[in-house]
Amino acid sequence: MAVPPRPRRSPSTRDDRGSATVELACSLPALALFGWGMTALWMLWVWRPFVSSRVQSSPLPEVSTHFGALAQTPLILLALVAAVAPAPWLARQQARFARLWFGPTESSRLAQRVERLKQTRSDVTVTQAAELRRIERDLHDGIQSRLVALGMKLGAVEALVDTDPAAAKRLAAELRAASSEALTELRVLIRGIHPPVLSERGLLDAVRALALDSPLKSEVTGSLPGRVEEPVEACVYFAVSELLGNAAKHGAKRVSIDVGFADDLLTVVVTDEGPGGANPALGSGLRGIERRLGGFDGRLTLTSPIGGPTKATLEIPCQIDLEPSSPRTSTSSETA
Amino acid sequence: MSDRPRTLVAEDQYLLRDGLTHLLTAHGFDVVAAVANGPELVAALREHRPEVSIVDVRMPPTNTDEGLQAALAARREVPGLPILVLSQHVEQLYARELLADGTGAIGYLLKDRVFNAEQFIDAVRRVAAGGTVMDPEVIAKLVAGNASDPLAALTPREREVLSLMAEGCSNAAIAARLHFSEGAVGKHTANIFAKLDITASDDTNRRVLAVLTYLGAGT
Repeated sequence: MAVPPRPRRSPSTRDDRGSATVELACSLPALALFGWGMTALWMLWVWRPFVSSRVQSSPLPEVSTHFGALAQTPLILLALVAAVAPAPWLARQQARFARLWFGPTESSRLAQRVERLKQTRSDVTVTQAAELRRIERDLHDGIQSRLVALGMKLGAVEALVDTDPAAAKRLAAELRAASSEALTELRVLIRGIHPPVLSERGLLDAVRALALDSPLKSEVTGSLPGRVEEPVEACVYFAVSELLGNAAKHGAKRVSIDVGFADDLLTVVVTDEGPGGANPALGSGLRGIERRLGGFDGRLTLTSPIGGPTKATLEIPCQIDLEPSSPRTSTSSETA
Repeated sequence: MSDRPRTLVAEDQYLLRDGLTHLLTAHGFDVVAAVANGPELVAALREHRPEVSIVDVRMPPTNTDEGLQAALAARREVPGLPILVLSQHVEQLYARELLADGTGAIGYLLKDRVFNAEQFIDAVRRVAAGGTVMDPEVIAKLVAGNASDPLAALTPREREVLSLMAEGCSNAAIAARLHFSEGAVGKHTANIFAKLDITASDDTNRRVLAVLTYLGAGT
């Protein structure tokens, strides 16, 4: 089993801290210069006229007249500007300094990350295994048994074709219908594994196709600059499918879907005018979406006040293939 | 349509391409070209201007929707070029794209429909003659998905008639399928057009197209 990580500062963290300390020290001269400038101004224009007629702010020469004070003022103002100018830079350094000293250390951040990755990895493997089991069951109970039945009927046709051609013909017609049913079932299964429209058209059109097939009045807006990575495409497709199903189940009449991509982040917002009150902690479907998204470091944000509308935002960091026309490799020559 | 319509078959799977070619030839079609990928299809459509083409959606080189894109492009060039699109799955999205130009002579069927040779050949002939043939699965989805607005005014029976019309059936065929008299079907269709606000015309195919276009634009 994994050994719990011992808290220890990494060398790079120490280096960062050191340099931040140095940078903070660099701000001391600026402070001193500012203090000197303010004191000099005060001495020239307040102390000298009212208290003592002779003042000196080292290293400047002694001053005893208004003219002398006037002559030294620009120099002092210049010193003040020089002291203030690096302030934004210094502030940034101080912020960095504070982050390094008071924020999470690199190792604790990494530990959190490892924890999160462990969680999402186990979610992904569990989900995947469950999906494979479902596919196996569907194939076994569905197509496989249908093919067995087809084979048996074919045997009967073979036996009957000479003795009772009419009956053989009837059976052949049944066979045709049965093979059609098997194909329909296979089509549904394929759609559940990887919808063909997704590989043919990419995410945006696949979402449009989903919206068209949904009984809800739906509107799809937004655009994508190219093809999204394939695994992300499928993940988002099934998430949107689930959300549309939920919306229909809970009596929403209208739903809008917006798809967008910016700064390596794919964002899909599904808003339905349903009754609201959706809670990811209760709905296994929503939890499933979260688990799927987790595998890509994506997340689901849900706002669903009672009375609606329910707004689900999917965010996934991903890459986009900017040349959607580039030929996509196919592992098999058998195509739909 | 000529006696032996010049026909093109575009399908990447050898067995199905060969089967289609034989089936069509046996039913009096003159298969002038049988191609297996997108670029060949585009070239053959340009060169032969076939009287009817049977086109698979997914073909090499990209194995995406090459066939569909080639069909749409060819029909942009030659409006009303008769094309019957075949696919392993049907999408409303594609159906709408195929119907969008409103010039008819278009078909969109599941590959399974080839099993029934007579019905399939009938569909090819209807497309060649300028008609519209949509797969029942598309129609079912269209009708179900649009149950809200314009179709809400229709009676269930009228909706049934409309579905069959959209599949490309003539009034006689609808009468046979629903066990009505042809006159009754005529009455139903007249009601449908009145309710959907479509100007009636004698041309069944035009009316089908109008209905489908209406459905396509209605959402």
